[in-house]
Amino acid sequence: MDDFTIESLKKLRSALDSQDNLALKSLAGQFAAEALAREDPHFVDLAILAYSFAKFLEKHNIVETPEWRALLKRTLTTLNEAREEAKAGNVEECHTRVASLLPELEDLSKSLGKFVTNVVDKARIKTATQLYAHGASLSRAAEFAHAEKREVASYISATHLPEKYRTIPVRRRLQLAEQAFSE
Amino acid sequence: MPRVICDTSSLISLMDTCTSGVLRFLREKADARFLVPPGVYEEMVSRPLGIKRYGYSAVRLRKLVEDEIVELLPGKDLAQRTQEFLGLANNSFFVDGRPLRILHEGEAECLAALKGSRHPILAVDEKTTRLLLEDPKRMRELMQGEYQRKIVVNKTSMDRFQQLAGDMLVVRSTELVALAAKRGFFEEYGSEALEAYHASLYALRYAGCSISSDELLQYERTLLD
Repeated sequence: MDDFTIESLKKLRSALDSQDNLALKSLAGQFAAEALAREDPHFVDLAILAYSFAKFLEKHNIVETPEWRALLKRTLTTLNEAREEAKAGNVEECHTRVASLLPELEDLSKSLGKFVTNVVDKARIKTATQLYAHGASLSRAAEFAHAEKREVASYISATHLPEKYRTIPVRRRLQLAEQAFSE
Repeated sequence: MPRVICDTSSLISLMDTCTSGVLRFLREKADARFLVPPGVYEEMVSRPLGIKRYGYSAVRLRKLVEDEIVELLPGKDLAQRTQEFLGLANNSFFVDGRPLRILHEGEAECLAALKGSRHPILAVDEKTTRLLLEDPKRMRELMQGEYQRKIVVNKTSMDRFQQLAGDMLVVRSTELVALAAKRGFFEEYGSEALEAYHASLYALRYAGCSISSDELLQYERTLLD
C-alpha cells in the first residue's frame, strides 16, 4: 500500500483524536477527490468517516454520551490497526477495518440522533457532491458514494456549484430547442 | 417529430416538482416523443417502487409509460454503443496519469439511445454529460480548478466521443418547461401564468437541475409570447 494511504490514515486519526472539526471536513474533501482520481472506494469510506465524525462533533447531545466516547476510543484504535495493516501491505485487511466503522457510526446516529436521515447517509451525500464537483456525473458520484441520487441532486442544487456550469446562453439554447420542437 | 431521450436527472427534476405534466403536454402540442432506455426505467420506476419515499414519482412515471407519453426503449441494441461512449468519456481526462471515470453507464446508455435520430435531443439536468457534449474545454478547466493539479486531455478519445455524439442537442428540464410554457402549459393560471412559469423554473433548480442563478434571471426576462 502506498505512503499516501498510510499518511491519510494517520491524518484522519490525528484530526479525530484532537476533535478538529475543520481538519476533518478538509480531509473529507481531499479523500473524496482522491477516491475519484484513484478510483479507490477505500478513499470514499475515509471521506464518509471524516464527514461523519465532523458532523457528530457538532452535536453536543451526542458527544457527551458514553456511547460516543466508547465509539471514539474504538475508532482511534481501529485506525491505528488499519494503518499497521497498510504498512504491512495487507490492503484488504486495512479496507475491512476502516469499512467496519461505518455501521457503528450509523447505529450511533440512529440511536442517539434526532433526524430520520442518519449522519452516515448525510456524509455519503456530501462525499458524492465532492465527487460531482471534481468531474463525476450525478449518477457516477451517487453510485460511488452509495448515496441516493435524488438527495445528492437536491443537495448540489443548494450549493453554489450550479453557478459554474454555464455553457450555451439561455436565449440561444431556447432558440435551438424551439427549432428542434418545431420541426 | 422531436425525439427526446430522457436521462434520470431530468426526470427526477420533473417528477419531484410536479411538472412532469409538460411531457404529456408536449407530446400532445408538439408531437414530441419521449423515450427512456431500460437503465433509466429501472432506476426511475422499478427500483423506487420498493422505496416508499420515492414510490410516488415512480408510480407517476409508470403511468406516463402506460399512457404512451413516455416510451420504453428496447435495450438489446444499446449495449455495445453504451460501452463505447463510456470507454471514451472515461478515458478523456487524466489526473496524475490516471483516467478519471466520470460518466456512469446510465448516462452513456442515453447517449447510445440517440443513435439513428436525425436531430437527436437529450434531456439531461446533470452537468457532466452536458459539459462533455457542449464544452469539454470548460470541463477540463473546472476539474483542474477543483484538483489544483494538471488535468490532461486524451484528445483522441474526446474527439471520438464528440464525433460519435454528433450534433446532439442538450435540453434541461427548464427548457422543456419553457417550451411547454410558450405553448400554453400555464394558461390555467390566467394572469398568474408568468409567475407560475418562473416559479416552476426555480423549483426545478432546487430539485437538481443544473442551471445557474444568472440563467434563471435570464429566464425571468423571457415572456411567454
